[in-house]
Amino acid sequence: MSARVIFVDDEPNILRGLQRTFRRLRNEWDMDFLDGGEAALSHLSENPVDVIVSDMRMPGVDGAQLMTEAARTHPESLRIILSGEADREMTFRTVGVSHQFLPKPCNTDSLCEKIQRSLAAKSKLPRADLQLAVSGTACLPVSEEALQSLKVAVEGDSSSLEDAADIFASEPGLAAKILQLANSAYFGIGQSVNSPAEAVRLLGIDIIRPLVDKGCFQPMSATPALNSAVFGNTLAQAKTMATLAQKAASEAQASPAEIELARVAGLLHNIGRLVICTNFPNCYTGLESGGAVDPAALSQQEDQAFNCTQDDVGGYLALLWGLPDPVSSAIAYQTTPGTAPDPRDTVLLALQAARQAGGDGRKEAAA
Amino acid sequence: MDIGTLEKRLAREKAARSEAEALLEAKSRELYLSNKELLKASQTLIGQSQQLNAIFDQALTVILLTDGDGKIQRANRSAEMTFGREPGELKSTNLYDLLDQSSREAAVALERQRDPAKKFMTVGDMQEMVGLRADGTPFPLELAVSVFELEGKRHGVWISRDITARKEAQEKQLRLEQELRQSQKLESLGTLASGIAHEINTPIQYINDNAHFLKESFSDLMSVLQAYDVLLQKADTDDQYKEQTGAVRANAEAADVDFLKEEIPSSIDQTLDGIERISKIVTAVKEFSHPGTTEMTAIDLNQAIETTLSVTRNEWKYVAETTTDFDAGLPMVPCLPGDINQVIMNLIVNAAHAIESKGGESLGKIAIKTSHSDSQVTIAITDNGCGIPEANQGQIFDPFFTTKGVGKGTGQGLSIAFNIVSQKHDGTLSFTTEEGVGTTFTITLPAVRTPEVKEAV
Repeated sequence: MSARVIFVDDEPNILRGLQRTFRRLRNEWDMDFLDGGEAALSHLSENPVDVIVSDMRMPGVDGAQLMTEAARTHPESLRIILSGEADREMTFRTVGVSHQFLPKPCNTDSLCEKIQRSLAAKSKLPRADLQLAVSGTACLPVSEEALQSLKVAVEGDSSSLEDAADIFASEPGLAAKILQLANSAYFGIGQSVNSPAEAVRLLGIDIIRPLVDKGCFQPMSATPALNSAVFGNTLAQAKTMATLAQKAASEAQASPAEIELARVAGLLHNIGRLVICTNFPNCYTGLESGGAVDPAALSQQEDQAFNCTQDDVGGYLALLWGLPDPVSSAIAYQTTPGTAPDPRDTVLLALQAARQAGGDGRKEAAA
Repeated sequence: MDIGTLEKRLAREKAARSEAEALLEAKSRELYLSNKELLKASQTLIGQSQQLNAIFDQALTVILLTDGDGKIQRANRSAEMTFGREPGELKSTNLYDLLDQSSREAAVALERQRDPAKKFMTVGDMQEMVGLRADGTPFPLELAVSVFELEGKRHGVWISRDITARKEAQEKQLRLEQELRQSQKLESLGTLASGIAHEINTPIQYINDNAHFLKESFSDLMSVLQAYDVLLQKADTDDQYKEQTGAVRANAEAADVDFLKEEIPSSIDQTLDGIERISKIVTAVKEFSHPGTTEMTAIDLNQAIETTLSVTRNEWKYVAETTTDFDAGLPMVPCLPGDINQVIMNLIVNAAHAIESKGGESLGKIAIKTSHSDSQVTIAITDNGCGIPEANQGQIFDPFFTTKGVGKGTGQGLSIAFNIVSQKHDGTLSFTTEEGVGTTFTITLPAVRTPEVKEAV
């Protein structure tokens, strides 16, 4: 079945330009070109949609309103904003309801590739409710302690960007979200940022503070059904893997940028499980015994329940959020490196090494 | 003489004596009183004189008494200190010798204007002049004089004040105002630029899309044309289609199809190239202007330099070639992006001007290199321009110092750059130069800004 893609812009020339450019994909995609927010909403009310690419500033229903509505009615969709600059207030409204923010002019080839790769990752998840869980994820759960210290770090006169950077670098939920925001053009031009701490410095306290205030980062208690033992174990593993992958990259004499990427890949290696345990808390019932969690059993349970691995889930989320390519790739192919686009990638190898050092508690896949 | 006569005389004598004694007593009493008055008066006078001397010496203003030719008769302590002289040294010196050449005549004229009959001046009569310290160092002062006559001779009382501190404060104020104006100008320029950039980006998006579309479509059309060519050749062999093939060939010739086949793709490629350049410039302008970022933000300096090079291109492209040697591992550096862009821009533009003023047939060279250590990053901007003459080397960071012609520079660029780097970023801005060979400006910035360290400093 061809993917259903809609493009929304109030400037007819832009729409026609996109229409001409993507005409070559007419056999792969089922495309509609809509000349404003209202038209898009009425289209959404009648049709399923896989991908929405929308302008921001439009008369009547603007891009932020459209994305908010689409996130509610079509949470399974991939939502991309394609816009020139928008005012900050409007931009804040799109955080959480859209996946990426591309600046105009954008290279349509890379837009096309982004969409195709995300759709391919999505198709690896056999269950529609799981697909929906990933694209409906506005933020990943964060430990209460981290969120508390983050609030202390960014609020008041003694706010410290460096403290905030350290906190963001240490929790998968925070690191993934901040990398998403900095790698997209939500605030600024959008540039390739590998390190969460760098992303924090790049965005600055004036953006970090409202993000924290507006609840862009949710504590685990926001999901009451969340299995705290599984969550705790997932977090602990993420931190262990971060350290091990960083060490492995450093021992392989990788560049400082690659070492940081390896650390981030380790920290985010099980974001798929965070998505699953937030959305399908019952998936793991009966597994924890007295607080001890066996990660291998968790994986097995996931595979059985969803007929895919948490790597597929994490890989899809990483692509949707536009995380750095080596990180997305390492997450997606950590247990099946042979099928990766570049099996010899330093970051993937570092994550491999971390797994072999026992970091993720999973049994090694048969060679 | 009879006794009676004698007695009378005695009585008279006695009376006269007692009268004389009384008189003596009265006189002596008078004398005593008047002496007492005198003592009191003289004590008062001494007191008053001491007071006047104290006022004269302690006055925080220079007071000089001169004769009609300007020879100093009395000078107070303030005068000696201001002009840097030993106590008593000013006496007999000529006042006019304490002033620099240009002020001397003005001071003489000031004195000549004064009418001894009019005793009082208003403070508004103070004039700014240049004084000389003992070693000949000039300093700004203000000066006023009143003249009077004493025993038929003309005298002058001069008051003066060293206004060095005030002048410095004024200059500082002026510099701050200049900087403020400059940053306001840049800010509104930034807002304007980013608005324009946004407006341009929308049409760029569809021009670009359309050009790509044309390129792909044309190559599709070309394969169709090729297929038609085969058909045409086949038809040539059949006289039945002679008319049609003739018409096709005539049309193709009229349209110069061979030319079109070659030129259309290349014209589209050039268009795409142009679009890419425009969008690069627009992105650079957007990045450069960074409106509203007034807080420390981490930036990629290599990127910032690249951006600045493209927005200043017009300043250097006719005089110099630029090369960059970027440290690929350069960490992000916390800074005020707008300010740092301004520093880099000032240094690049300066380098271009230095090359321009050296003249020469071939293009000059501006080389920019970045590097880093654990604690700092370094940007070196080297030109092979005229260099900085030794005499100017001490002043180049001074506000308003410029060697450029009117309209070329306000003399603010390097001073602002210095201030931005050293004051706002805890960095350093230094240079090495050789006249006629070139100059290298080196900026160092702390790589990581930890608030604790900053507070401790």
